[in-house]
Amino acid sequence: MTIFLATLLVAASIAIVLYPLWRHRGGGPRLDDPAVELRDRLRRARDRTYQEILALQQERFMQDLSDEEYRARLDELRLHAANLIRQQNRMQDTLAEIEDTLEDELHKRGAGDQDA
Amino acid sequence: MADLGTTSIIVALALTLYAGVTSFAGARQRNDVLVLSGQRATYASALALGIGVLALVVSFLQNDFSIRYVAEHSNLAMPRVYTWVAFYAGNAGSLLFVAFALAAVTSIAMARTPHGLGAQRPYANAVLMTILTFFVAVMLFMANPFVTLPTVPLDGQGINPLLTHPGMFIHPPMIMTGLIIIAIPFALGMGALLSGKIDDDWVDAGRVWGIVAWAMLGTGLLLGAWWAYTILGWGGYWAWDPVENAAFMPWLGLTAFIHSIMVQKRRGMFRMWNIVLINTSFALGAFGIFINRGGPVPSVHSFGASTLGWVFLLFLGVTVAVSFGLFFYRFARLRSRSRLESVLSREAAFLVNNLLLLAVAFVTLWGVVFPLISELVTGETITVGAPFYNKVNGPLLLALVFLMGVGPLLPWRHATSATIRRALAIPAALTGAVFVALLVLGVHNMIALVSFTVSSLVAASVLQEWVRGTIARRRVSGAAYPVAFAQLMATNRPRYGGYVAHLGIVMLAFGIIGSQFYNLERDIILSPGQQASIGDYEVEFIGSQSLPLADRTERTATLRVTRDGEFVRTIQAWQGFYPSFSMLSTRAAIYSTPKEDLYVMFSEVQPDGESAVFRLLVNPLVWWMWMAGPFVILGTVIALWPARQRASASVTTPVRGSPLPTGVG
Repeated sequence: MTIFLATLLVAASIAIVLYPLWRHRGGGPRLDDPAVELRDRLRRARDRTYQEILALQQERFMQDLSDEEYRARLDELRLHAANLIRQQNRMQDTLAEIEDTLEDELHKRGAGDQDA
Repeated sequence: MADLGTTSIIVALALTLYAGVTSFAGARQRNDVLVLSGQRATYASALALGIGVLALVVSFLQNDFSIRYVAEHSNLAMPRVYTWVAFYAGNAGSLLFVAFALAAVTSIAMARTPHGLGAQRPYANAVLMTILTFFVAVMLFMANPFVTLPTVPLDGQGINPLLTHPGMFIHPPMIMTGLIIIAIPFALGMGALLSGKIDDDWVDAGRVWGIVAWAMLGTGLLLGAWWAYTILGWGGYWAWDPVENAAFMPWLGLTAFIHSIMVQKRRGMFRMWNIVLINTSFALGAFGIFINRGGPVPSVHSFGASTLGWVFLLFLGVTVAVSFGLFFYRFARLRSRSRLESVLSREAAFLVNNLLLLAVAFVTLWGVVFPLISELVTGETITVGAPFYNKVNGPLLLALVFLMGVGPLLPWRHATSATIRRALAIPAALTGAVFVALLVLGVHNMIALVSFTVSSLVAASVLQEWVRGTIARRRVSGAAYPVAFAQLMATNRPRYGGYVAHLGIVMLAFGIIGSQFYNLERDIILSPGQQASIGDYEVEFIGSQSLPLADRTERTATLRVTRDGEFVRTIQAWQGFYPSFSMLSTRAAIYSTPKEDLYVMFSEVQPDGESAVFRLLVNPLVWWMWMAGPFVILGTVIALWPARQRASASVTTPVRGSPLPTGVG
């Protein structure tokens, strides 16, 4: 029983470890796809900015800040959030354009092959 | 089972080595298949070590005394429930526990860390797997719990009597797991340095794991204090024992880290500080392992004679060299975006907080290593006791409590005198009232008076924040006060969860001050029927009974307690003598109220066989210390509770002069 369990453990470990190498032997998924990374980073930066705006509103609520200080800081944060969203939108538009171009090219090549 | 256990450790070693190498190589070469394989190997190492844990537990349950570790830490008379404690009672078993905990926690951390961290994640995994490889290698080659005996004994030695206490079911696992979890934010920080992406992306995950480690370590320390209070028989709860200090120091470092990282999250500042703090916390944790297992300084906690000291000292040296080497290598890129604008700001308060906490940690470290240094230099071992720590750390800790009261009231960036007046007026007035009330109540010890007053400042500050916030919330939402309060807590969980934890610390401070400055103590010999008085109590010794058992002889003393002539309760103090350990274990009889504890410890029976020596104590406010634990845990849970995801909304560029929002969204 002990030998069986030990053998099972060794076999399972080898299988778990080698599975990704076998599954993606032709090239694997881009875990750190720069586009995905940039999108996630922008999203995290935007979430942090929203959290800051919430915290700022909280401080204003508690009268820890004057109207002037609050307005100045809020404008700054809202501008920052707007910039982040614009960057995200630009990135998505660029990626969509690239995808459309790629599809067209593939479609043309596919049609060309059929003609040949 | 021994073969299965050893096989699982060998497999684990191979997996951790593989995971470390492939994660590092994968991150370096941007080879995502290698990174994925390394991550899978991490999960598999947790599985392998889990099987090792199961093998050892089954060995205990089957009383397999062919395994040396089982024979040394259990016997036929041991109740099954203590199997859990016996598992980590010794050096080898606790190493297996630590290794499994690290593998499991790493697997969770890597599965939950965002993919968007890019190369930071596999670098962090490589660091964690390197640490785990070290522990597994030490276990396999120097402290294998599955080593077998040449001849199988008929019975084992039994479990250390000091460990047969409810606290031992939780205290050691909490401490060990808390120390292990420090590795997670440490590895995330190292991952950021190794990848060269010195931005703030690792801060969110680092903060969460830092708080988890802090809460576990803090709860473990409090449980240890409770264990010492009930079982060691001296009526105290903290002796600045080297191994207690070894867990206390990284907790101090983590306290600084989890506060300081809020500044990086909020203002992009203190980047260098946070790397230094997490490096220091991890190094202090490694130092703690060295103290606990190397045994260079005697302690009631350490695993006694051990040959592992130099190995863990080497590990500590390498950890410090590599982590701080990386820090200096990336030094120029760690510069913060913003600067400190004013000494009257929350950022400045956090900076002073960091300095004070590190000061306490280093004073404590000095006290721990001084005996070693004195022996090295003079040939004579000079031990450092509680008076040194109390004298030096006492004022520093008091300053920290003061900061806990004032810091949260300061605004970010800079405070005007009007802001400070508005923030501190009510707490200062309440604190002044407490000061006068204490004087009237007869608290004349100046240190106790100042300490109570400063602690009440924290409570007053928290109360003000809650009351003002609830009133403001109610004004906007129209909800009832309890609902408005719940809504307030939900709007900023990290802040208000932190306040709950701060209240827990205040309760702890109250208990320490009361019991340190106003305790009463009396040693007396009583015969059955005789009574003694202490404080407001009269304690009558009814009699004692002896009960011989298979592995011990128990003796129970029954006492009748009255106060001002009124019957309060019957209490029992217990002692057990374990011949195989030549050890006497005791349990105090404790009558506990929020005002004070009556504490009775039963000592030697006299030659007449009837009378006995008793130590009687009255410890004011100790009850509040144990109540602090649930508050700290509750505060941690609130602080870490995930916020509801906001629906995405468009943000338009604001027009200057546009109306301000009237409420919190």
